[in-house]
Amino acid sequence: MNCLEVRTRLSDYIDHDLPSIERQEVEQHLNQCEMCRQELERLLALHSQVASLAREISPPHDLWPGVERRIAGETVPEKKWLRLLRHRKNGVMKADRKRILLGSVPREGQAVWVKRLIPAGIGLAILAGVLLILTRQETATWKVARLEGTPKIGTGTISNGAELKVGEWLETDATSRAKLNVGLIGSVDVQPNTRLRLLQAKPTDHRLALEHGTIQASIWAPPRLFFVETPSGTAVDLGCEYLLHVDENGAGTLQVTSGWVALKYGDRESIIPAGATCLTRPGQGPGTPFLEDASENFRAALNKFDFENGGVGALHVILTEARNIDSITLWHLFFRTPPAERATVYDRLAALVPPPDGVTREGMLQGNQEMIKAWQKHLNLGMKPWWRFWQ
Amino acid sequence: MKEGFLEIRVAISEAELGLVHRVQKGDRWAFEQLYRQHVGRVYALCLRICADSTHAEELTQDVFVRVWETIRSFRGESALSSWIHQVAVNVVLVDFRSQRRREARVRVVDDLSVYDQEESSGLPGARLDLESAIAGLPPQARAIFVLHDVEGYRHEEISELMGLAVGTSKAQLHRARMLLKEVLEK
Repeated sequence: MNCLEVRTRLSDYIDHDLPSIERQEVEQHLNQCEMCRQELERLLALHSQVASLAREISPPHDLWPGVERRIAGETVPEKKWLRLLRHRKNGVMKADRKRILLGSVPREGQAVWVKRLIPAGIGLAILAGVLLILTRQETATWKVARLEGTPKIGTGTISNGAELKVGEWLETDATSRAKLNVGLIGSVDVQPNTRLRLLQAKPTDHRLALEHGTIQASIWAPPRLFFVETPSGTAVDLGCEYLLHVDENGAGTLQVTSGWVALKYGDRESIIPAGATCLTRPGQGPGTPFLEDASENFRAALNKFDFENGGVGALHVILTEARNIDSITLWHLFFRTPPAERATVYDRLAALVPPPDGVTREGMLQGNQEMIKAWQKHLNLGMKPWWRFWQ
Repeated sequence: MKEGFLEIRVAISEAELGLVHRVQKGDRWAFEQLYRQHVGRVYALCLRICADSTHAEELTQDVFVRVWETIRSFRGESALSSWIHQVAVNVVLVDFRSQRRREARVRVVDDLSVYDQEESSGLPGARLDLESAIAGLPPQARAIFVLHDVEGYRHEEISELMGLAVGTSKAQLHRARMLLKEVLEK
């Protein structure tokens, strides 16, 4: 391992969260590299400082009277706009942090409310100014080029040098196509019969809403900078090219041609590598990724399992039809099946792709993190370490 | 030795249960006792995650109102402090998510500019500098750092509480540590 690889692992190293092989490699490097040892010592020093933080902090003044009034039902909820005004935050405001550090928060009470009216007025003026500036930043635009037919922005047709502003809709009919520059990080080919809207055009958040239709995205930036929201999930770019289709009912199909894409819907997430496809359904989110050349039976059973409560019957067909290259599907299923069926998925996956040394059936079923990571790496399904710096 | 330790735990648990029974019957004086015993820990959690003392006070009040409303569901299977702490984490994270949604509309970029040297350098003592540096972390990294490194939650628990992938939790923790290390070295 080189210094960069070691430093990206130091956090996991001090948490004892590295697979034993990687841990040994890190330790071998640390034995030879003074700079990395110093880096480790700085992290450990931080760790020790954090351990000395007080477990309790007394509020600057007594909050009990407020609690007592509220549990007695005597208080009127604070107006939402006033609460927003008082707690407007973009990161941590200086005044707030000074109050934390100096403990100069005024006491609660009616007199304090009167005193707050003046700063509230000033705050309102500042807020108006901030909003004005931010609103101007929100109007960032992406360039749009007509490829075929007469694509439209809003109700107007696209001319040379057209731009799509935040909040505007881009629409193509059956005979038109357009190309959208995703800021400076990529492009989106907007296929016929597509309707999408630009939601964000910030350096850290390039975001489209795809209502229906098809787009082909090519992104050459670090992961997690480009997002496409659909009615049944959000596609999170992890450095890739992909085709995303959403039908009139909001159901989606994502085909990844290069790199990886994450599909998220609430707590449910699927990670789809190049060559794999994943379906999404409104109200249910992403299904289980599968390779495009999987058998018809396999795909039909997976569809039943994901979206039609196919249960054990569907799972049995999936496992029977699975090939060793279908590990991406079985890997997702291992974590999605109920405990009673998880062992069956493990057995099939282990038969198709034997786990590396040190990974046991019992450990995997108990959720041993080191074993999960080791096998994930063995299956080539692990995230590249550098991804983790681009959250 | 081990037996004695267990006896102490049982004794504390019985005392707590007595207090809880009174609160469950609507005894506000007992609830004030309970509040006084636990407010420091709850306020510390709220303050460190939201990084705003005024808002932390409101959240602390929200937590205890929630405790009052739900204490009938407390059956004594866990320590009272753990149960209150869990209520506090839930209240704070619900608020955190709604704050994040609001901030998402106006936030431009997280970067090191949120750290003001003038604020950290003029303060007495390393502990305050560390508190200041934690308060200046980007919100998600801060919340994960506080839950993991200060409160001792595991990544799997944070992932479930915050609706994130475990990998995201780990990445944000690493990011928080790097930022803290950097700002504390200045």
